[in-house]
Amino acid sequence: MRVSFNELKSISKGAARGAGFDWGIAEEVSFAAVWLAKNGFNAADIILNYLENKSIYPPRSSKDDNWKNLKGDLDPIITGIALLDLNISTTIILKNIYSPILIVPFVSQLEQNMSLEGNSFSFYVGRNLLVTQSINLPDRLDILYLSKAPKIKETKHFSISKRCIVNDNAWRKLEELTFRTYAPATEESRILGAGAGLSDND
Amino acid sequence: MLHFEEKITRPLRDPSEVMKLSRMGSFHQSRLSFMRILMRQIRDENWTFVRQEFDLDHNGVGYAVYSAKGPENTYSLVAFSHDLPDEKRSDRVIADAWDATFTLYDGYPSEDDIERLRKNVPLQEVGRISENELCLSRANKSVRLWDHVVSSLSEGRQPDIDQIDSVGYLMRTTAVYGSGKFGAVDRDFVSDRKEFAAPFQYELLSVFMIRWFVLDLINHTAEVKNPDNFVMLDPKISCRLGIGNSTGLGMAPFLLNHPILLNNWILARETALARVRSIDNVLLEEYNLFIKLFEKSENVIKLWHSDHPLQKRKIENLSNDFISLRNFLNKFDPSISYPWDRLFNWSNENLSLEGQELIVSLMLEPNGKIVDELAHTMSDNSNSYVKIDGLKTVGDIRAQIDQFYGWINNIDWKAKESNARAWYVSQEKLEPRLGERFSESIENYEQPLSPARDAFRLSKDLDDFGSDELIANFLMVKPEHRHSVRRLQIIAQYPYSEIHDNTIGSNLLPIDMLRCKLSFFGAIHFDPRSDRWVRICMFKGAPYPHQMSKSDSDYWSYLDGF
Repeated sequence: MRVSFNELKSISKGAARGAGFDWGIAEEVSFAAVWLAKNGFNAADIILNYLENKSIYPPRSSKDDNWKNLKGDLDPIITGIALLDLNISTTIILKNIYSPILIVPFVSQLEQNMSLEGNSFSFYVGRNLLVTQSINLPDRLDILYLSKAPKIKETKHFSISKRCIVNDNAWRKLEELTFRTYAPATEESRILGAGAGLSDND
Repeated sequence: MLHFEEKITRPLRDPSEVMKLSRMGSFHQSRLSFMRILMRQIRDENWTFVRQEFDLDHNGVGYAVYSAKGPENTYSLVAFSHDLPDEKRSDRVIADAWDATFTLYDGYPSEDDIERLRKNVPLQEVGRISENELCLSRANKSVRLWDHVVSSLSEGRQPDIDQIDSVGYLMRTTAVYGSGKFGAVDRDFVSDRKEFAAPFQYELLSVFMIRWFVLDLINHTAEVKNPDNFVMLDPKISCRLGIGNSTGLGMAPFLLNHPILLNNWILARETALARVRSIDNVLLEEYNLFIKLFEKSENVIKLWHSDHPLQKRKIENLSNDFISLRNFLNKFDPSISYPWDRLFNWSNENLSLEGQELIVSLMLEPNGKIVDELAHTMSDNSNSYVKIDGLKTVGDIRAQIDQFYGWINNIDWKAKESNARAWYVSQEKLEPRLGERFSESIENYEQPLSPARDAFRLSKDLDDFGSDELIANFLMVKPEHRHSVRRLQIIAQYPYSEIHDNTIGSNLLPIDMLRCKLSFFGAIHFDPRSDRWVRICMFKGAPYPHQMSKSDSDYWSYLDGF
């Protein structure tokens, strides 16, 4: 299915809210979705996979350079948000991180160009910069090193298509999640909610 | 290049004054309205408009294609005309069929494009358009006027002017979707085109061309009814017809969801006002133009009909304002220093909000040379992600709440009436609605459209944290406030980005939000049909696309020639 980036943005926000996230986090999920799609990643599948996984956790503390949670894998969105909120520019070791590609959009917004290195996972990113040789994205990594990137000469610019190609099945599931945010129709809402008022056919 | 900023001696109005819904709900169109900007551009660049196809049968069913060629790009309105049974005609978003449906194509559509669009555009929200289309829209006939005009023309006579003026349009659009909706191209991919520098230009180009199609459709309908006797609609009368529009709650959250864009619109208008108020000496010809448009405005007001009690009262007040204004202007000496500023100050003390805002719009009119360039500041093309500065402390955020949301402390948040409403999206049509929080089961579905209450909740929860704690750490524990902290950081940078009213209180009038947005579009004759949907008129008084010339007046919206 071919959709606009605005449609992807809306559905990602709605699906994240439908999956139980607060609105401010849902906004972050939709930002990540559009960033991934514009850089050629299969955003709908990645976001859906994230939203369907409930056994991931925020970093227990962000006050040292070793971020982890003993309960299980780190939540990549919450971890990415924390990195960005704190404007990290030093080396941080992320232990046991789920779907690490979801960190990349947030790291790309840091003031410094940064590198992300893990087992067969390697990204250099900045505001308008993305360099990677990683083709198969790992489901999770035991260790991911985030550090200030050395000067980068070679940059790879993905051509931005005007369309976002999404898997029909993933899109349908995102729609189902979004649907949870909609109130069931009642006769009262039909008449009052939209404000019936005077004639609309005259 | 002129440096107006150095000459501004009068301050911009304070957001606490401008951003009240009662005032925003009294705004009028001005030369910074998007229709006015579009028409100036089309005229100045000498765009050419051509009817490429008009293939309608005796029942008016078929399709038509109209092209608009600017200096660099061509756009085509593709119109599908349908035979709609009367009982299916509805302005409401729950409708699923319309008299006519439209899309604006980027370029000239091929036969294959037309076939693809024929299968999708008539379905509107249920169909799909592509990156080659800019927007999707539909329109219904005004049954009050349509039949009268068709029967008059088919019998060889012109329709009754009073009937024409009492409605003001033959068809009204009930939605114009852009910005990637239903598969249309994302704004980002066309926002660098010069013709789309100001907001909503392609949506309004679409509406401008729909008005032309409607004119052709009514003449066609009259002709097929009585080919021997029919006459074409007199251009003097067709000029009096705009395109109507019905707008409901779907549009209301827009101003809340696009704070930077809202800021840019209001800031442009307020900057224009401050520039004009700062003019020391006014040329007599400029003042005379103001007086001429003031007189014409009275005609616009006389043709403004509404049965809604609130709007009726506002129009009555505005009519009284005209009497006061006329008395004042009769004695007014425009050769004194800062005459616009004096007029502005007098209007603030003596006129209703409707009158005050009309004067603001009128004062901008003779001053295009210092106003029009602001049109290019009204978009928000950054479309960038607004990241939160998490290194701010809880103390910083508290101080910002006090500075930018101090007014929320005047609201009793424990009172039921302050929380009476909730915004939600219905499963039925996926459109925003406004419900009663305490009598409907909607609270779990509430949309984040109550920034004042949410800022209040944030301020309460901040009380449990020390002033030196980073807001990033607060948000890790309290992610439910993330959207409010982001908004606060936006509002701190953009003075006119927040509505200074409670958007979930029992006194909320969503029509005020609609009026603000529609006045920036350039609409006139706001006619609320309830507290949450409104009818308006667009392009009334404007030339038709194929009649445009370099000499067209910039003041068509004052119904020149009526």
